[in-house]
Amino acid sequence: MLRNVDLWTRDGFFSTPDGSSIYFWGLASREDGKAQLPGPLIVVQQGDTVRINLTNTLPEATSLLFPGQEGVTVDDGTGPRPVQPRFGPGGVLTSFTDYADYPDNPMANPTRVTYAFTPENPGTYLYWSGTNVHRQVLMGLHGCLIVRPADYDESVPARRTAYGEGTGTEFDREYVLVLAEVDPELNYNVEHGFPYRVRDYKPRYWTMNGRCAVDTMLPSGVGYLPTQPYGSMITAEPGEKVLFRYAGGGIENHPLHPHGNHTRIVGLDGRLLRNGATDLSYKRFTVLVGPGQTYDQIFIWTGLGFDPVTHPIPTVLPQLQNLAVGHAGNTLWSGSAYLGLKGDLPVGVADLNDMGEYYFMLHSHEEVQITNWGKYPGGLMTMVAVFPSGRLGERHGRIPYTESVPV
Amino acid sequence: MAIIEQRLGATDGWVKMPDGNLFYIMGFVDITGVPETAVVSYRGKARLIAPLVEAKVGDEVYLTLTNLGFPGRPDLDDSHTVHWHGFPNQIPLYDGVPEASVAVRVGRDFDYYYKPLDPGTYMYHCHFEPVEHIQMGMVGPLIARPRDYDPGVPALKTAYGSGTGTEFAREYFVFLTELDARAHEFMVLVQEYDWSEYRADYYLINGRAYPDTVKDNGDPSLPSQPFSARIKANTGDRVLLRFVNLGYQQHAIEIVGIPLHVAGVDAQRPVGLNGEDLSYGKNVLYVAPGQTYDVMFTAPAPGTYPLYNRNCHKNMNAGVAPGGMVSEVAVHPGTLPPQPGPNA
Amino acid sequence: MVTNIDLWAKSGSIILPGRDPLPFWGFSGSAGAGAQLPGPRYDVMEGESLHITLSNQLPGTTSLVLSGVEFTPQPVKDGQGRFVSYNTEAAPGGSAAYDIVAARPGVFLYQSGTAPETQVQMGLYGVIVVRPLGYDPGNPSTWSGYGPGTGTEFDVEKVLVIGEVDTAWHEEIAGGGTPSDYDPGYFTLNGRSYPATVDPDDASSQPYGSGMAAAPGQRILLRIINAGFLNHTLSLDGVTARVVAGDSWPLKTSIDTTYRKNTITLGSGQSYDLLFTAPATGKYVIYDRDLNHVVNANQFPGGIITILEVT
Repeated sequence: MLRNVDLWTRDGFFSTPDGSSIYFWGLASREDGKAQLPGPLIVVQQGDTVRINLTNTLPEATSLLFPGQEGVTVDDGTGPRPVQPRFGPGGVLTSFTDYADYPDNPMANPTRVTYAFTPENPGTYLYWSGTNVHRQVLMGLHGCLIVRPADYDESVPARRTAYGEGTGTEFDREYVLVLAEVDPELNYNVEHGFPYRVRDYKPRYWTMNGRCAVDTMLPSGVGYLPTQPYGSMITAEPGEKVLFRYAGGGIENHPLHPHGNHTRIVGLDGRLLRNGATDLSYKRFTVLVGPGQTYDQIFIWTGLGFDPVTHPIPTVLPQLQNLAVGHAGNTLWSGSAYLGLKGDLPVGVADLNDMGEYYFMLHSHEEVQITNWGKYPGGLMTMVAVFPSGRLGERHGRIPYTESVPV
Repeated sequence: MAIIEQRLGATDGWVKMPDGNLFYIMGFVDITGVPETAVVSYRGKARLIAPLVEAKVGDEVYLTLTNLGFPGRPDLDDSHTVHWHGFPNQIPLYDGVPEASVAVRVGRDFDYYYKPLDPGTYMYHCHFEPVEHIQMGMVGPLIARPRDYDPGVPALKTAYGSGTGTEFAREYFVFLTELDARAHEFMVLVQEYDWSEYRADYYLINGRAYPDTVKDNGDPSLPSQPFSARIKANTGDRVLLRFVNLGYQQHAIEIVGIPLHVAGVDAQRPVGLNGEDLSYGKNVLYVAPGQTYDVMFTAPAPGTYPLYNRNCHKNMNAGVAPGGMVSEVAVHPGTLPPQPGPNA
Repeated sequence: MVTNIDLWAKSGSIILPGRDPLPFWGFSGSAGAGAQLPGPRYDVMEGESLHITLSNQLPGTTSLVLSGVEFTPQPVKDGQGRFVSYNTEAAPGGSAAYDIVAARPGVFLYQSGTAPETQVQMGLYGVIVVRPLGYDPGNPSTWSGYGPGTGTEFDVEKVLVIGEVDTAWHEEIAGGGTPSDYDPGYFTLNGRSYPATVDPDDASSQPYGSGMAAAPGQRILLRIINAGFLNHTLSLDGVTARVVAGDSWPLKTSIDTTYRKNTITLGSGQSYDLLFTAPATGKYVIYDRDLNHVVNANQFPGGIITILEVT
């Protein structure tokens, strides 16, 4: 199948929960669309022909790298050729790959290029700018690419997998978490044409799918975050297989720790952890997400079997007035120890719990990264919400393909 | 299977760095079995690091948290929790995340209940305002023993159970944290700290910086920092090091002259779905915050083997070397008596 | 059989792009030669006994340790019982000898064991490559990283030693002072920052190039080792490699636990052996995905970038 993806580089502003509006460079998926952080999620299938049409509107040349893909070609109007790094006077690198020039360049090079490739391996990948990488990637020019296996069939559980039938990577729901950091001062300097000194890099915000907590827990596509379309709230039912696709879009390592249970890492950088019959998957409770790298994991929460009748919790819950409930005036706790039950909450504490679902925090364990400019809560944090069986809609945590076009 | 009852007081206190500087901390102190009338005398006696919590798979652990308040900050009425980091299939009530369950107010108790499912090295910490409470010192080690653990039977004195190749003669936790002097000073001066300014001045193993790391357990000069980080063994002993990182930075630990074997990661044996043995060797162990590693070696010839952070700029105390994350492995020629317990 | 390795610790100067010569301390392999960054690379055979003599021409004491090698160090402590050196010291103008067995194949760092926070940063590090039994430099059919059955046969081999340079530290330490916060502005492969990384080997104080050349289909063994104090993340553009060893422990032994990676993070002191087949003709960029490490001071491009040329 041919997947045609149109992308425009564009500048814009994104918001943080503490009220900042920060300049960034991002990618838009429509000519009249807004730049977004991170770039549009691209979902294709193994063996597809993927064409990425990149049009540059920034004040400098730009490009895209597709790490983990082989045989990538570029076409700037003269026909496809293998991508190559570009060198300037003295043989010094000017771009890690062929680029789309900036509109006002007197050399009048093409501002639109088409990259094409055929993904040979299913899995999770990143894409990022290959030009002035020390600036453009940090400014927001990065995103995630999912390659579904050739035998993928969403309606058949054995074929709803990350790496193909029989690879032990079946999932019921899937979530992408792209991590990055922001030093607002560097972005400000780019906005105002001041010197960009990456040595001074000092992140104050840490983003999960382009948002800082607590905005990470808002739904995708909320209108007041027009440049940050992707939420990071994870939902599941007990026993379901949840595929976490972590991707390091920034330039630092982040140790992500989900409460509730370990994850089993089944793939790295879009490669299944298996050699023939030898399974190389392994369990972790904290995964260090490195820059430019991806981690496919299966998370399953089954609980410990507590039930008010057959298996009550073995300690006595103190009276409400002896407990501290709620943070900043609200709580995700149901008031009950049991899944699917609701209990009393103290007067004055806002109840954010819907039907007795459980919430497990998923966050960076470099705790300064769960702040927004030093204030907790914020940054790299979201929740895994486990709903009572049968109560969560099937479409939660299902990611559609990027539209295909007839060849 | 045993029932284990342990009681932790949450309070504040002071720790000492080798350069003589004292720092205000928050932390836990063991008040198991202390008469109710005497509990108040533990206010202000927080330990860095917190007491070891130890149980076998199948045991029932009732861990009572008592919030003793902060005598050094009487204006603060912070609640506290215990988060058993890595406990599988946990329910929110016992998970200790205040936003998603309950916390313990000053002067109150709460009983956490755990029935460990998987052996290995874990950690616990307070999850209330975690960026502050973890850096301030509310962190401790946690060991889950395999169900068949028997320290009197060599084949059953293992990290992950008989037949897993994790028999050990001696075990030590190597608990890595850092201390940001300004964060602690701001706390005692009742000032807000911008945590994005975090920088470590002291790099600690088991709550101490070098050369205090090599002082004995319970050294009288370090009343709030009871755990030595000196590793002792007889030549030929299998030694298990339980690495925990509850700092805010990644660390790379190396022992001069002793390559390491990674036998456990995040309280799991590294095994594939079909039981494939994925354990591996490492010359330098690279540990991120929130991770644990169970690392083994056979004690070589008698001698002193330095242990240090390969991020060498961290082997300093407030910029002065030697210091920081340095300790040593002291190998004896068979003259050490059997080890009575972890880090002993 | 005993192999003698004679090392001298000396001061010298290095050139980083766009700035004046910078003082450094490094190893040299002969009395007459200058210090170099990294130190001389040695090739020895698995099982060989190494008798290393270190002659100290620095103003202060120094010593030598090997990383990842089993040996019994002889640490030196001060009057307060604190480590001064992790191994036998060579006083200024004096020397010390170390006996080590190269027990297993791989790539190993040798470095100063005295005040490593200053001396290793000043440049006192190098690598020893230990060849597996049966390796014959004259017979390409015997070339492998770890010997038969480890899946590490190669046609082309490249060792890349990662480092950092904090110029303020160098100036401070060379002047006899004590450095403050570590904040390197230069990032190096084999002691050089891009674009010098792609220059060929030469006789300077930074003798090792990091450029690579291969023909399509050739098996390339990339041996990356991190001598810096920070983490670094190498990314291979256009290539996904197989990780065949970590810290010189081969991953294919009784079972095959090798795995594929496009980008890999190395903690300080760690190494990875990456094996891949040279792709179609063209140039391929290999760089530090910590993108604040691809600059010289603030100047892009620089730092940890090199090029593989397939022709």
